[in-house]
Amino acid sequence: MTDEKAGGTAAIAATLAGLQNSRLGTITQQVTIKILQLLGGILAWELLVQGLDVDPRIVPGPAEVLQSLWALTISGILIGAIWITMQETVIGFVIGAVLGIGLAVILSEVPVLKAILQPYIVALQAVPKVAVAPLFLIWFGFGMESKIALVISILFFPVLVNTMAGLESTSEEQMELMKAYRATRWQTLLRVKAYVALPFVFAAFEVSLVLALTAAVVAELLGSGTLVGLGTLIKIYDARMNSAGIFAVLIVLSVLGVALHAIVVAASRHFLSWSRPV
Amino acid sequence: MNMQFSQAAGLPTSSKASPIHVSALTKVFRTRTGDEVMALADTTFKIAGGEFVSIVGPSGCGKSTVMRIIAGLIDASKGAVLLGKDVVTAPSPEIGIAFQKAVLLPWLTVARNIALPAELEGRKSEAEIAARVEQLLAMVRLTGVGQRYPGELSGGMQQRVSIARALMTEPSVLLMDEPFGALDALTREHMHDELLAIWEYSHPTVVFITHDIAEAVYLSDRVLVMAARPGRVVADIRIDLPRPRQADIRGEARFARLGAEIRALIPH
Repeated sequence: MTDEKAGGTAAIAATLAGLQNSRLGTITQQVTIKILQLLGGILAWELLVQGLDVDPRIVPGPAEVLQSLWALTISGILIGAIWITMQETVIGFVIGAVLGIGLAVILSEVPVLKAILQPYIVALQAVPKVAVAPLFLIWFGFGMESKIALVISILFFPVLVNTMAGLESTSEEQMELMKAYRATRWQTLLRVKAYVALPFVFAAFEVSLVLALTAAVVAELLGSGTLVGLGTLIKIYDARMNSAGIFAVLIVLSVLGVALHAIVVAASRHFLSWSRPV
Repeated sequence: MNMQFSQAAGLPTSSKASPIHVSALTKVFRTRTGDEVMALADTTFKIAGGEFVSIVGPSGCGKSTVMRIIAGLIDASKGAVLLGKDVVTAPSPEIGIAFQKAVLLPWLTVARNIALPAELEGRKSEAEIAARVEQLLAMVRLTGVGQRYPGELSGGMQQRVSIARALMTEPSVLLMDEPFGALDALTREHMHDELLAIWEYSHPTVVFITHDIAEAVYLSDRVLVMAARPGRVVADIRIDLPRPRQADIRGEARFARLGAEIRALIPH
């Protein structure tokens, strides 16, 4: 082989290596890291439980938890429970968001109303919502309504307060521009204020969607009828001293929380693409 | 003169532009500490329909305040502004306005930003608006960037977009508050010629606020000189340089003389 040929081969090899590094390589690398992280975590868990000789009824090992998770999955109980809890979370989220945004718009457009309601909002906001949950059970019963009510109450205030702050964060120049071109109040609201408020609204969503899931689970823990959600499952396992079952549900809740958060982040990236610095 | 661009502007050829009569205008602002500041004191001047008038003066002389009262954005404390035969009480549909900052809406494309005044007015059809936007983009030399977002443009390009927006509704009165202040010297000189081309074509009444004396002389029929504390007009200089103006006039002796005359009138 001549030197020239060798050089050519080396160049091709380098190009191939470069290609792999640039695209496929990084993906494979990332996936490998994720798998190693997961396996490392499970290994550490197993070692800790065995090394400290922990009673499996207090902290179960990963094998038992995975077994529980598998049993829950194939029995169909898990899917049913996820479906119930997600309904509570998402319905509560949608209603809470609509109410919060709606009231924020009304209050920021009618300052008199805002002045009247402001003390009540501050007072209600200060009430720990979870403490109100027993009342919701009395008012709305043991069905899904009481859970949705708690989710709404947890979500409503962050969305209301953030949206109001957002609607009021238009610049003087933007308002002057709209005035100079004789925009109506409605046009100013829809064409400027709504967009200026959007990053604030999404920030509230990001914080409160995971809180909404928590609220749904807490409401289920406090009392549920025939509907078996993830919180109800925890309560059932608790009564049976089945820690492995509780851990299995906790893992599912964690995955759901991360997934919901990822959806909000993706939505905010999509709708706020214009606000990213270029 | 670049007739191609003035043709592209598609503005009406016969000027029916309104005269502006600023009559004994006084504006008192109250500061946060409760003090009263007289931004304008008993200011009177007339601008004929289709005339190009610049207002120069040091910062704090009330030149922006005058413009904002003419635009109907703020009220006068005393006195009045007549636009044509009407007393200005609110922003008029006859007026196009360009601010010191571009003030583009970052969530709208460049094309939609330019179209905004027409969309708010709701009189033109979508097709008419789109065609007009294309003309204006060509005029401010931004053809092809209509679908981009303001955040992707340089400061100079953003300012040109805001000038295109001011022209969207074919206004008969154009108010400009230091619109070229943020542009580099070359772009600025280019924009002067573009603005004059638009003006020659449709003869809107122009009120042009600036602190750049050479810019005022190059563009205007008349230059009003204002002084601060309290804000008032101290001189009214007619610029009798021939039109259409060409860039080489900047090197002529009478151009320099007018500039020096105005500079001498501005208190320091």
